[in-house]
Amino acid sequence: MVNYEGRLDLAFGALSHPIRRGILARLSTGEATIAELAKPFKVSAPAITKHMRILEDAGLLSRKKLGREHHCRLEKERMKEAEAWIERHAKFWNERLDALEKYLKENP
Amino acid sequence: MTTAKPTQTASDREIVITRLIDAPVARVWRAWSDTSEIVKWWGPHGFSDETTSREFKEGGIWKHVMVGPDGARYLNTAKYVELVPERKIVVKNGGGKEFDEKGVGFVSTITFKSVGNKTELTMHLVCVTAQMKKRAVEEFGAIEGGRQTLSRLNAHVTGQFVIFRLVDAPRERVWRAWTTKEMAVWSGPKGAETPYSELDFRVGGSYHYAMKSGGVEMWGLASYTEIVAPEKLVYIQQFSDKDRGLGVHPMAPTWPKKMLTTVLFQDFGPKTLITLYWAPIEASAAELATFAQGMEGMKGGWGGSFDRLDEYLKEGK
Repeated sequence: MVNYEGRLDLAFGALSHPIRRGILARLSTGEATIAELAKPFKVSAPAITKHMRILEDAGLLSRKKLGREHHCRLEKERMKEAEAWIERHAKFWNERLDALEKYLKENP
Repeated sequence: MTTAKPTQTASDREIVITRLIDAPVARVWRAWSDTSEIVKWWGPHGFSDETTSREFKEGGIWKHVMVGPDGARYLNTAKYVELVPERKIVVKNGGGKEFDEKGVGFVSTITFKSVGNKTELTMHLVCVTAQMKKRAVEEFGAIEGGRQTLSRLNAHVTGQFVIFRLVDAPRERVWRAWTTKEMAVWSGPKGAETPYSELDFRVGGSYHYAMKSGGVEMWGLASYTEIVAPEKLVYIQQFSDKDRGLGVHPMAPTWPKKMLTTVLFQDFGPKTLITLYWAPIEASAAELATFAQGMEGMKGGWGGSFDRLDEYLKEGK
């Protein structure tokens, strides 16, 4: 079992590519087959498979075989974990500066 | 920020700005040649860049809009005249929507020189007329703007976090809010209390405080290393305890323990432009990696994907 830090590392590595973020954005609207996921990107099927494997290893995506088709879905819990981490830090300074502005408005 | 020693020499048509960039030449060249990188750091403090098209090759054109802190839009076009990888860029700069030789206001030569693991970067601008230089310097603050641009480049290649904010208050007022016990009122998370704070505002002094939010108590210590009132403030921020010890991030143990925070205050009409640089110092490899990945998330333009994810996740299924 990979620990929290290790999981975050994998998740961020996986999220560092625009195609993989695109795949996740598509999956956030619901399950999809590999062919459907590959459609918007001008890359080969093996390239898409490689990106999917990286997402799978990071635990962000899972797939199951239904007949001849692989159905892919987003693993929301893992995604939430990574997202919460980023948000904490990205929001940090924006919130501080919002508070400063408010304070200055009330205390000119 | 610490290695900054911008210098200038002047003739009646020239502007020269030099800066040591804390990264190897190959890295600095990439920040310049890769369009997805240059748009992240191009322009003075508070500016963002919207590039319409860019061909980074000899004869290639860069069309972009520089957007000021107040949202003012400045059309720019440039033509690359000479490119020598990792050595030299010569570019003709003009305004307007399309590049026009007659509209060229100045020609810049950017030279890259390897100094150990760092890069000495020189921007040499030659204006078409002396009057144009006068205008560039006096009206547009070209020298200061050039220095700020190179400072942003340095932050970009060294993986620092930079944020700008235009605040509707005079500079002296903003300075006071950031340098007195007023900090306790606004600098904590929403709803946080500050049961303890002690401020010794001088170089070598510190701000030591406890914050209580949602039942959790957190201690922090900021040690002042540079104070230039009312324009520049540099301090080392760390998680701490009641005895001023070195603490760790309660939520992320590999988050850098010490952060160098540089805050710059600049007049912008009756308002104040705040520029904040945030860099890990004395960080371990694991801490640097954690910070770098956090930065990727902040800067990488995840916006679109995450907005949709947000909605989805909020459904809580």
